[in-house]
Amino acid sequence: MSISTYNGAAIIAMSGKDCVAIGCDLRLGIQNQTLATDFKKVYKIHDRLYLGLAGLATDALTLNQRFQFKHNMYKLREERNMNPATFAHMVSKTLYEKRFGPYFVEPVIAGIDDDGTPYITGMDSLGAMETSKDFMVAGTAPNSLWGVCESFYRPNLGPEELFETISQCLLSGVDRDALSGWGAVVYVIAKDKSFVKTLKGRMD
Amino acid sequence: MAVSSWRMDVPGLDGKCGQASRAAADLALGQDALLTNAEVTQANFPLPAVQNLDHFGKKVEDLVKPDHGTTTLGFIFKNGVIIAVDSRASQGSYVSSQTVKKVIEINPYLLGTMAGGAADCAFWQRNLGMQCRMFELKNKKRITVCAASKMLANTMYSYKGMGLSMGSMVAGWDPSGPAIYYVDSDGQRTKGTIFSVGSGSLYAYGVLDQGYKWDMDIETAVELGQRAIYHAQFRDAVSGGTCSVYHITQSGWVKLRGNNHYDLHYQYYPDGHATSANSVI
Amino acid sequence: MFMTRNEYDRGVNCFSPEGRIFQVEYAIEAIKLGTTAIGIRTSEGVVLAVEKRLTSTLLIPSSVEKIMEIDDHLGCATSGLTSDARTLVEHARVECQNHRFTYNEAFPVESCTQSICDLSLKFGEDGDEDAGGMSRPFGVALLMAGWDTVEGPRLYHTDPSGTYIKCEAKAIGSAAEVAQSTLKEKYKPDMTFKEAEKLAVETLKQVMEEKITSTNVDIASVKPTFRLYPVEEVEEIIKELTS
Repeated sequence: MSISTYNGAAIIAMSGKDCVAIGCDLRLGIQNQTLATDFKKVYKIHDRLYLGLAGLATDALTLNQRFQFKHNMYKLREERNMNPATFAHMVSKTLYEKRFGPYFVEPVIAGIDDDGTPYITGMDSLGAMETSKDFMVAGTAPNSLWGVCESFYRPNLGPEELFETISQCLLSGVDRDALSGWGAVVYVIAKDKSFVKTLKGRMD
Repeated sequence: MAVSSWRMDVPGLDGKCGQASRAAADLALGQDALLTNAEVTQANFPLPAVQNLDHFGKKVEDLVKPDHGTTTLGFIFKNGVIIAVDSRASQGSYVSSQTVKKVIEINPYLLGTMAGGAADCAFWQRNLGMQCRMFELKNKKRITVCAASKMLANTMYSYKGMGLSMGSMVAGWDPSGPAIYYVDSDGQRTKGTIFSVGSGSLYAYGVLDQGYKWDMDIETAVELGQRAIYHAQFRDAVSGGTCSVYHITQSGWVKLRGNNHYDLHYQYYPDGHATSANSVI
Repeated sequence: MFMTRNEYDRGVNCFSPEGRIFQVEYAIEAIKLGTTAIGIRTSEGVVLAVEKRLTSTLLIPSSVEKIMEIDDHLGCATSGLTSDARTLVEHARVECQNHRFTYNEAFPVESCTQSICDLSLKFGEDGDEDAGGMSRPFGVALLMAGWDTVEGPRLYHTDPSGTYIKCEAKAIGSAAEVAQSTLKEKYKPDMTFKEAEKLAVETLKQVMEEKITSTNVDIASVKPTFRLYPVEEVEEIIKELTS
């Protein structure tokens, strides 16, 4: 039994022209048994920054609470929101603090900074960052997600096109993974118009 | 002697392919330990020339990761037999196919279902089909479900301990009426009225036991079979794809349904399914 | 025919100085003692008709099997030793099933005939009986009627020497010579199946010693699946013949 595939997850982040998108599936299971189909794995840090946590669900929930706390403390001190890059480094450092007893999660961070520049990064469970300018995936279906992203992704897409691309990638990707799927949710973050949509997916 | 005809050369896996291990493999085979009874040529599978066959067998099993994700069910009721199956094949958590045919049409009156190793099921059920046809040509009458399932069980028993993986239902109609037999790779064979086999079988049993009535009309029974498979596909990660439903009567089997799970879900639950998880914060 | 017996007529794996294997020739002779069987091929299908010698009124006619089903698309009429025929038919059935199992398609008629002939040749004094070989040649000839997926209706004749020939129309058994000349005279390449059916039964009627009845002949067709006619249908055909 692998702890990182205990609950199942699929997360993609993609960047476009002055916008980013991040989406996740909605399944929560215990190994092969599906428990819930409305379990969101993407958490809002602030209006222009979202964090996706794939891996062990209990660790993901704990970590989200720790990051909310840390972000609140930052805001009180600095009187401003965290930059995506700043937040990513904080996540990395927080994970490495548990180097010898890690949280079993794979974070994906997507956001835009003040002038609308997209920022996307992924990490392993120890906090090794991998920043990407096009897309990043995490979860129990990495091979199929990478595959669809490689073929469907185009640079400089607008928010609507980016939404369509990430949605198709997510839905197709999870159809080849038994542990993720059961519907999906996608967040598109742009300077003036951000939106969120829930996708109908295969329920098996 | 079968072993000497060709050998798999696997020094990398077990490292011991010397004379001594060959002798051991020959011993393990017991000259013609495999089937010699049937007139239909039963392939004489050569054993790998390794010292520890069990250990090697486990490694091979890991390598090929046979399809274990499946839901199949069958039940007898007033108006015949219903067989319903899903269509997903998986290797670990990877969905290798969504369109697998898990019902083997042995002849117009006999069906077999597949759970476990896809190749083991397909090969031995086709082999069963061949034995049934030979029976028909020789005896000028159709084989009974009882006899057909016994042939399969005997085959399975003769390979016991060699790592075959199969959980099957042999269902059909013969002069004594409808019948379902459960046969697996341990050599077990049981007659019964309601069976479900595979990783999603527990979910299917739940729906089946709740909705089963002897007096059902055909439409209700088909719907019950479909619904049981639907729920198994929903809850079990490694069951899915489509749901096929067969009905067997005096005049043989007919396939009545073959619905995609996506369509079924939004037909059964147009407003969404009430499965939510709220973490207590 | 064989006036002088000599030491060469005993061994099955020994040529005589004139280059003959007597046991094989004797086996071919045995067929001439057998009942007459006729097969005719048309573009619509193949018909087989055989005479059944019912030596006693206490015999149950249906138990005398001279036409046998090999597979859905393949049947054969036999003349000679019935027990030898059964061995060959059993072999052919297994070969057909093995082909279906391996390739998921019908066994081609010629390949099936070939595999029967291969077995027919496996005789000899030290022949290994485990492999299905016999100590003597099979004393039977077959008319193989089948329908090929690619090539359509086919008719083959096999004899104890392991030779097989593709035929349009063929008669074997005791009245083979007379029947064959009738067929040669009356067969037309553009015959309909119904005409071939009539010709087969007519020819049979002509060469039979007894009066033809629905119980002392068997008729079968392959078009494109094998079917042995029930007694009523045979009756019908005979009735049409006399009218």
